[in-house]
Amino acid sequence: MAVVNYAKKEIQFKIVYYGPGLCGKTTNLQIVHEKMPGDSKGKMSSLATSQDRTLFFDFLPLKSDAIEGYTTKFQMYTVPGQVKYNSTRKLVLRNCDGVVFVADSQIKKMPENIESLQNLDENLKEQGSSVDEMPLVFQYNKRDMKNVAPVEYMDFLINNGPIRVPVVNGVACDGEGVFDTLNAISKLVLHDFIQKKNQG
Amino acid sequence: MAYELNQEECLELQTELDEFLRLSDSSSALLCDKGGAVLVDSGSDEENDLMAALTAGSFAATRELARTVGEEDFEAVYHQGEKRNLYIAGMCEEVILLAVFEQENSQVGLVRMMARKLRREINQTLDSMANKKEVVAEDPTVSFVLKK
Ligand SMILES: Nc1nc2c(ncn2[C@@H]2O[C@H](COP(=O)(O)OP(=O)(O)OP(=O)(O)O)[C@@H](O)[C@H]2O)c(=O)[nH]1
Ligand SMILES: [Mg+2]
Repeated sequence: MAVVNYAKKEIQFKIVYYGPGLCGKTTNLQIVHEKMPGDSKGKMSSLATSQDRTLFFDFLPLKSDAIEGYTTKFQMYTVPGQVKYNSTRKLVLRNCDGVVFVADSQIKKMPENIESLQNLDENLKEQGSSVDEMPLVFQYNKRDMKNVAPVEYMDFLINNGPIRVPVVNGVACDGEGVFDTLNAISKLVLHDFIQKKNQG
Repeated sequence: MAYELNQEECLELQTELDEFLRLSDSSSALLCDKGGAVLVDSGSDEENDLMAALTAGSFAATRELARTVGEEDFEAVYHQGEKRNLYIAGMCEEVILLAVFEQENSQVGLVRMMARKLRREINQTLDSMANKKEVVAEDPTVSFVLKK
């Protein structure tokens, strides 16, 4: 959950990119890091295997002035998508304020998308939240590939909860949809925060 | 777990951390939560967000490792470098200390002792922070307004 420092006039949010292996989570952060203006981003750091698979997490700190009178920091993380790294996924999810679920649009990846989303829900439940409660955005990535599933079909498979999760179609490696996704999740996180505040 | 530091708590943590820095002859130090967010820092503060993220990760990973070999009572991680050393220690269920100290200026024994002292000093503040309901600051004029 957000860390508010009234003395330093600073609010920190943690946003986590989740999804199956190779769906494009790291690519999303790399593009954000590449294209974001210099003064609003910090260094990007990746704890990865020699094959560029995420081993622990990627980390990218961003700064904005979204809330009046405060410095708003968004600490961006990715998790390792490979099934075997579930214990590290749990660690990275800790205290998070919002999740981007990156789904791989290729037809053959649908089982992995479903499994990864279920895994997200289980891990969130362990920390007292769930996919229904957490600010969440879906990115249907790799729309440029052959054999992609229609968006409606992906909705049917993974976006079938009581409230439809906002969806951004993406070709992350070309930058397509990357900033739309970032804007969507940061807006949701900010609104969630302000709403909770106003309820006291 | 949400952390809200009001002026008083922030000042308290800052004072104690500054004192820790002085007594332990460290070059920089920070307190972060287990999600990797900085609460307060002392000394040089470049790349602090990254350091906090890595501190939380390193602490959690090492603790899991310790548990796996049957060691439940895990207190700290110490990294000895050529010139600079790192000391990472749990302060309470939710908060971790990272201290960076130069080989030639300090010793791990001293840093460990001062870290324990720090833990005692800030215990109450951390307790009351952790048990605070997630409510708006004491100051009712505090409000959060989104910029257009
Ligand atoms: N064709 C295509 N390739 C993509 C797209 N997005 C990412 N890729 C490629 O997919 C591969 C894997 O991307 P990563 O971002 O490393 O995937 P990841 O989700 O971080 O994978 P893990 O770290 O193992 O969980 C890379 O070669 C990317 O260049 C896309 O939209 N279209
Ligand atoms: Mg990755």
